[in-house]
Amino acid sequence: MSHELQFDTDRLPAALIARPLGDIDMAVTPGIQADVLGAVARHAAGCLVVDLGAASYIDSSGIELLFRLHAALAADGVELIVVAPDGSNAARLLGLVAMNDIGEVRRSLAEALHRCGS
Amino acid sequence: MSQRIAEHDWADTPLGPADQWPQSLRTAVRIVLGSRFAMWMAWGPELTFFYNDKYAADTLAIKHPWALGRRADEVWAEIWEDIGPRIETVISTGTATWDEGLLLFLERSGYREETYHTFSYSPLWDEDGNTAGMLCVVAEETERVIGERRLATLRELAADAGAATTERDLFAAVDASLSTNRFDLPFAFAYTIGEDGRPEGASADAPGWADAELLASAPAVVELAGRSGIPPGGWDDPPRQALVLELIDPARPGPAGLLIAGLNPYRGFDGAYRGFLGLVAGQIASSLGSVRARQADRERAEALAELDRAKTDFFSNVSHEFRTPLSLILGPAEDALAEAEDDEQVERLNVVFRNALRLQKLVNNLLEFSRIEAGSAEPMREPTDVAAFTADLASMFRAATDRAGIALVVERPDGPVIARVDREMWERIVLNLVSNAFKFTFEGEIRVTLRRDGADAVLVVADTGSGIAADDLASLFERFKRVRGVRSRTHEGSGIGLALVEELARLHGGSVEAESEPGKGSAFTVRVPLEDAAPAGAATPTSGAAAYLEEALRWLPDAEASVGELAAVGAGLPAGDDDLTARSRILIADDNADLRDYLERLLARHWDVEAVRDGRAALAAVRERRPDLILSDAMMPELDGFGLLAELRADPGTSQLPVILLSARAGEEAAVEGLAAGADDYLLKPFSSRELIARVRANLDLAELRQAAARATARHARLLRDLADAAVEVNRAGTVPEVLAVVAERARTLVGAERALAVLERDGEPSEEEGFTRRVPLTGGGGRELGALLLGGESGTGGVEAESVLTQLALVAATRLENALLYEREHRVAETLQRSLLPESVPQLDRAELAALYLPGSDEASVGGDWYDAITLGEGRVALVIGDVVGRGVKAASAMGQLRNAVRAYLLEGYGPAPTLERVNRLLDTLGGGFATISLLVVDTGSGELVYANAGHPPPLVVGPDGATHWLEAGLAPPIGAASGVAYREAQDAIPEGGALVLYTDGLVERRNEPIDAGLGRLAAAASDSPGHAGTLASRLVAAIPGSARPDDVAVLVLSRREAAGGSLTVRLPAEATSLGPLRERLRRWLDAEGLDRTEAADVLLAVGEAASNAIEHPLEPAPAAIVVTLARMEGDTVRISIRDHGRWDEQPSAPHRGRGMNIMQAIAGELAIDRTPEGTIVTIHHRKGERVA
Repeated sequence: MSHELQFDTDRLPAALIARPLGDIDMAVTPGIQADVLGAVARHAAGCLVVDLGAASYIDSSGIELLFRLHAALAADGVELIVVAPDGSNAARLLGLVAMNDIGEVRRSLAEALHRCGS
Repeated sequence: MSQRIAEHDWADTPLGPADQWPQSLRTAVRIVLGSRFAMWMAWGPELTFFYNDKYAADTLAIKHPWALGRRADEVWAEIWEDIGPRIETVISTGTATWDEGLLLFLERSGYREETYHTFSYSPLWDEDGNTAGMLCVVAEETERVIGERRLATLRELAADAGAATTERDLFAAVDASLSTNRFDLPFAFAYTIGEDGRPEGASADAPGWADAELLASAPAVVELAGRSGIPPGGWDDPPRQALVLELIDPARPGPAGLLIAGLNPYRGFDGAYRGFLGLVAGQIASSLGSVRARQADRERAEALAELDRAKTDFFSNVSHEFRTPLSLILGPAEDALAEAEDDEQVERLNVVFRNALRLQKLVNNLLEFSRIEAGSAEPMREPTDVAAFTADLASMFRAATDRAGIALVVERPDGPVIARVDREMWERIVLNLVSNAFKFTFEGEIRVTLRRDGADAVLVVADTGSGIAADDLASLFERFKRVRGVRSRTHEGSGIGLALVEELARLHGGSVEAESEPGKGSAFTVRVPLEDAAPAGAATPTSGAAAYLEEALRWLPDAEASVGELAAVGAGLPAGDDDLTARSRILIADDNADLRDYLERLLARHWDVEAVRDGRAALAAVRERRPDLILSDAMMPELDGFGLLAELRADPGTSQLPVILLSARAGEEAAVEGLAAGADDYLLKPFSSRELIARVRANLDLAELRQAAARATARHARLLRDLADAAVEVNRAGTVPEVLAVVAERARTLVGAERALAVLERDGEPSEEEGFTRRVPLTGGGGRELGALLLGGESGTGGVEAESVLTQLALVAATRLENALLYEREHRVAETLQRSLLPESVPQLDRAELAALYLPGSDEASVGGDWYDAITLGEGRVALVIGDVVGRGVKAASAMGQLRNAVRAYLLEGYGPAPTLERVNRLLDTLGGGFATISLLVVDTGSGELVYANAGHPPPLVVGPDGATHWLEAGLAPPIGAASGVAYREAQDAIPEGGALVLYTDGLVERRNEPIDAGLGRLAAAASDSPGHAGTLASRLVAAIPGSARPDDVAVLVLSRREAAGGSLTVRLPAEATSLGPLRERLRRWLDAEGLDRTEAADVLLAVGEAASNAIEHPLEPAPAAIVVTLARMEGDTVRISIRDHGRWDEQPSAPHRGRGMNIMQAIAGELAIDRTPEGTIVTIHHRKGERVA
């Protein structure tokens, strides 16, 4: 399965917003990871917001993805912020498992951007 | 083999003792031995040879077991030239090679053998990663390659030899088609066996070394050793043996010919080879038989036509020869009778006169007949009151009927009955019928009736005579047919009277019929069309009529007493009225004024006459107005008779003008001189008036005959031209019904018939009532009657040539018909083949209905390569295939069969639609081209989801339960065979529950003169009218095809999904990350159908997703073809889902997120069981509806 990824660079100069659409499973996470890291390198953003609000499915491979992104970005001093709106699949998933080292989690994009801007 | 390898003494080889072999060699040997494919491998510096059982059996033959452990270049010394470089490449570069159908000459059977192998060489590595040897996987394809080659030759031979029409063409075709395969037939020479039993070379260049002794040994394999000049054919060495075969035509005893065929020196002469040569000989023999039969038919038809012409000529000549002498008997007898005084003398003269009259009547009838036959009897038709004329003619018989004591009743309506008739011919009709009635009637009456009936004038001659038996009635109007065993007044008769009546009636566009009851009497009815015109003068009987009466009187017992009546009749006849209808012009040239006046008076009673005084004046008169005959004195001033003749004959315009010379010079020499000068006749002075008139009349008749002959020649030419046109059209007709229709129509116009029909023998012929009067058989090769050409209502304008033209046309038609029948048979074979290649039934599915329909095209020439297929792939998935091989007939049907099998195989192997198409496309390349459109879908019958790819086929149609339709238009790519290396794309779609999927071939939507969109629109409209059950829908779609005829064949495949239903769901997927999406999608639909709400469903999906991810990611050693199976079902309000794989999970997860996966599952599932077994791991998740972990 191919994945679809939307990037948004306009909201804040310092932030890159990545919004994966569709299902996130182990078939697509390697591709998302590569695409996101590539975009971060091109935009030289200080902050990456991964908005999981539009993911129709996400499982532990998504957590693995966040974990890897967090580790990769931390080395370059880029901050990872995850958006998991209430009622979303991502929120449900994050509610089920304990997590460390996957970046800051916010309930909306606005909150995430606010965090970036601060 | 394992044992042999174990027991082999390896110490002497560079590989050393087996127990010291490196692991890499052991593994390689194990692979070879364990394989059921034929394989060999070579290892080490000398490329030591290993192989498995299959290879020993298939390829090595007598080299086994010798080959084991030897150097590869020793084992395969004979082909090392070919394979050595390939092996060198593999060893030095590590790159594998691939050869398909490579010709190799192996010496494994005790001789150099032609073999074909498809094989690949791949490198084998040792522990250090260096190339240490090579592995060969090989499939021998000798049988296939040679089999196909022979089949191609047989096909070519059948096509070429079957088309030959002469022996010469046939053997040229045989030579040509056999020369295309100089491998199996290094040489082949055909011989025919002549009447003397000796073979005679029929092929070009039959060689000298094939002597009589050699040929006489047939059928046998002969040694060619010691003979020189043997052609090698496609090989370097000439054949060592040849097979001499007899060509047996089953229709004839003994061999019709011989075939000597060189045997491929590189193949054993086995059963297949013998069979092949037998088929070649059989094909040649049967073609020879049919060519000869056709030849014989042609000769027979020509001979018959020739005989018919000769007969007609004979009749014309004989009759005409009789006419002049008869005139010379009748004239003087009449004169003498008038002057005779002695009673005894009168009686004798009466006998002479009567018999001469009888003879004249007979001769006139015969002549009339031959004129009709020659097509020169153009009726001189003019409006005539046939009622009055008939009454006059019939009444002439009153003298005879009165004497015989029978009544003669003549009935006619008031007023005239006008018909356009040739008066002389009408006279013949009436007189023949009345005279015939008189002949068979002894008491009662003869009733002659003339009346109007609709558009016809009807003549009925009825009698109360002996009658005619029903058996004889049928053939009554046949020529020379005489009714026997019936009481009649005389047994004399030519048997042509009634036949003449029929011919004459027909010439008038009319008919004659006979009804009869034995003992009661007969009635003859003649019909001719009425005419709306005033009669052209009154018609009067001709002098010929007297002959009929005289003959009738002669039949009476007291014949002598009839003299008086005869004289009375003769006196009542106007002189020369037989020339009333066409008065000829006579030019008289004589210098003696008295004689000129006498001749003028004498001849003017019969003809228009002009008289001149000499040859010069005669020439001038001829140039001014051409007379029909010149009567010239031989001796004249200025230009004498001979000079006049010379002038006339020199001018093409008058060279045929009849000239009679009159001369006083007696003696035979004079006559000879006159005739030698070109005179038509020669008359000595003094001559009797009757003789002169007879001679003039005879010469006029002769001239008319000549002209008629010229007209007939012109008509013949026209007929031949028409025939040529007809032949072209007949040969253009493709199908049997077309040929029949064209032949009938052409025959009808050629001979001017009212109706014509060509029928096949197998269809039967119409009954006689339908009025067909002529039947021409259509005879095919070998004398088999294929059918017949029937004609009715012929006008006779075709003349005698029509007969031969019809014969020719029938010959052309029969040949064409034979081909068309052959074609029809091929069509049937193709259709049968096609049907046998289509699945007999479609598989039964659990969650859907499947229905298929195949209808062959109505056009006989088209059997397409349409096909469909449905293959269950397990776990509720079914592959649906629909395709169309471009082309027609047997070839397309068999290509279709190959494609179908290939598609089926790839799908069963587990390839998806696009990879399958890609592989089939490559396959078609190697099959040598061709085109096919294919649409391929894999449908999950549970979820309705489908994956499809399309190679140029019309798009499948999805119909929703609400009638909404959409086309599966994505993923369209070029047809198979259109281009190599096409990347086919897959697209996804779904059939909603209660909806249907329609696959079809273009025959369902394509119509001539109609854009395809219209057809697609029609299909969508027909489908959207509630999809319903698959079978019903398929039938409805076919029924919606407009018009009754489908030019192309049609295949339709319909899958309809049942309405939502509870039940279990089984999903079987390859253990790949990409399977997760489809798995979730199907589970999602199932959960939805089972009534789980979205958040609940999301939890279950997540748990199953984690379990499946585990199943895909972790099972490792050994790695079997892993498949994840998910089984979901409802148990009460609990969803129970098990996910199984074929591996073993690590007790401790290797990756941290896997551990998370376990945690997630445990967190979500109400109950989770993990069952680890040696065969795999089963995770079972229970979820109670309505319960959700917060």
